Amino acid sequence: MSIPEDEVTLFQNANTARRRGDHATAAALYRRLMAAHPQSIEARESVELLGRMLFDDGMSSDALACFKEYLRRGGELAAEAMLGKALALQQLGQTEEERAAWTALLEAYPESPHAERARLRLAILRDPW
Amino acid sequence: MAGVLGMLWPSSASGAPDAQRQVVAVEVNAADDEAGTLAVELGDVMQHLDLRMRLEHRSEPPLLWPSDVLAGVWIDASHPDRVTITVIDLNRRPDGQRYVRTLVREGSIAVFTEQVAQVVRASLESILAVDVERLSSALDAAAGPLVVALPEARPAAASKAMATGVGLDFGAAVTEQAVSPNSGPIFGVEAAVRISLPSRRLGLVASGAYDPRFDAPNGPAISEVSVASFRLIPSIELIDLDTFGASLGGGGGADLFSVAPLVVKGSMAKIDKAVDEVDPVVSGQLVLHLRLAGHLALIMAFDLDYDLLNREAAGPSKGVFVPPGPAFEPWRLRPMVAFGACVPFTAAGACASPPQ
Repeated sequence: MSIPEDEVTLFQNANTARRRGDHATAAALYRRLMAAHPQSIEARESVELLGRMLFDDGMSSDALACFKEYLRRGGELAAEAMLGKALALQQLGQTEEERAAWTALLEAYPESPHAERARLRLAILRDPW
Repeated sequence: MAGVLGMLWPSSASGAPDAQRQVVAVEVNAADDEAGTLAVELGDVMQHLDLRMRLEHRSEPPLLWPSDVLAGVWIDASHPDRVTITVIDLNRRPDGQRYVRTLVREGSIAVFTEQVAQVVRASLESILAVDVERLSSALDAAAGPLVVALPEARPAAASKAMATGVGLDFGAAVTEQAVSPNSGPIFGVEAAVRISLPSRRLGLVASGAYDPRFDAPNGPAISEVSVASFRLIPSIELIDLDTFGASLGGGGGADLFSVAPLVVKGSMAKIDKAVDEVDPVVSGQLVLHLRLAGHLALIMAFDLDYDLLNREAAGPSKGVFVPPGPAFEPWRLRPMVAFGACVPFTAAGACASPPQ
């Protein structure tokens, strides 16, 4: 029996695996989707979803790479990818890059629910005491 | 149409807002197949955030949102080319701070529903995170550039999260120590400072104590003795409740004995010149804090010192009636109990009271 390889099925299967907590399978399916259908919208969105899942699992460095790649290619979830990038940098302790990431998020989405979070985080980075 | 799809997920307390603010009201205007998929996706989001969802399917946004929920979410997916997501923050703003986001529809239903779920998740996370960040910064940066008010509703986990920054405490106590077999328990005074790391778990105690002069008879001889003690003790917080804390430490220092023998010559008796002896010691310490309102804590400490110096003689041996051997011989194992008060110099100090 062959495994369906179209982008929508791969995307749905990856999401299902992620929701049931099987993150290893989900990551493998997201990566297979990106390799097999790199130009598809499903592959593009998979980059952000994979980044968020890796961040949840504590793999901040890999998550950061995903968020950067998503922002390089562009997509509807740019605000979420910028937030993920800032949080991953915070986890990694890369303060200067983190400061730049929060600043960029604040400038790009000043009316978003992330703006106040960015302002507070920048204030803490400015004066940690 | 206002058919209730109604999904309620069980919620645990960890990391969630207080009980009044655990619910997110979600209203969806979408075709049935999309609404069903959205319900699954959003249910997963709420479960991840330890929140409960009240979901309704309707064609118009509600005019009023319930005031007791964390947030309201209006998803309008009725347009074929785009979907509009409105998140209303009712946690910090009872009048509802609105955030509107429009996504261009592209790809499959799975893409659209995942995108909506990600937008809702990130929005709720930021609404929740701002509470914790505000608490931290308000308590840490007393003189910082950002002045913020404490939020009305505070996540349960925040009372521990607020204790960031380096802690600094000052304490003073009266002590009672068993010093030698030739004297009873000796009363003294002690002062200490404790510096703790941002987690408050690890700290370093520097202390100084002084036992004023006491008599130490030894056969026909008698000496006047005073003891000054200095300690440096790394410690770890074993218990850190809102009002009670306990820490255990191990370190070392030195005891400075000043021994002045009473010398008798004929019918004359006088205190001879004191001789100082420094004994290195290793110490174990258990400190209990009972934190009171007003940033004051009562402390009780139990110390056990071990004298590393095996002295055969401490103090002078001259004098007509001073027998051979030590005029004053302290125990090598010396217990001490201290009772006093402690005040924090920073909000993250171990003696600091929890926020009200």
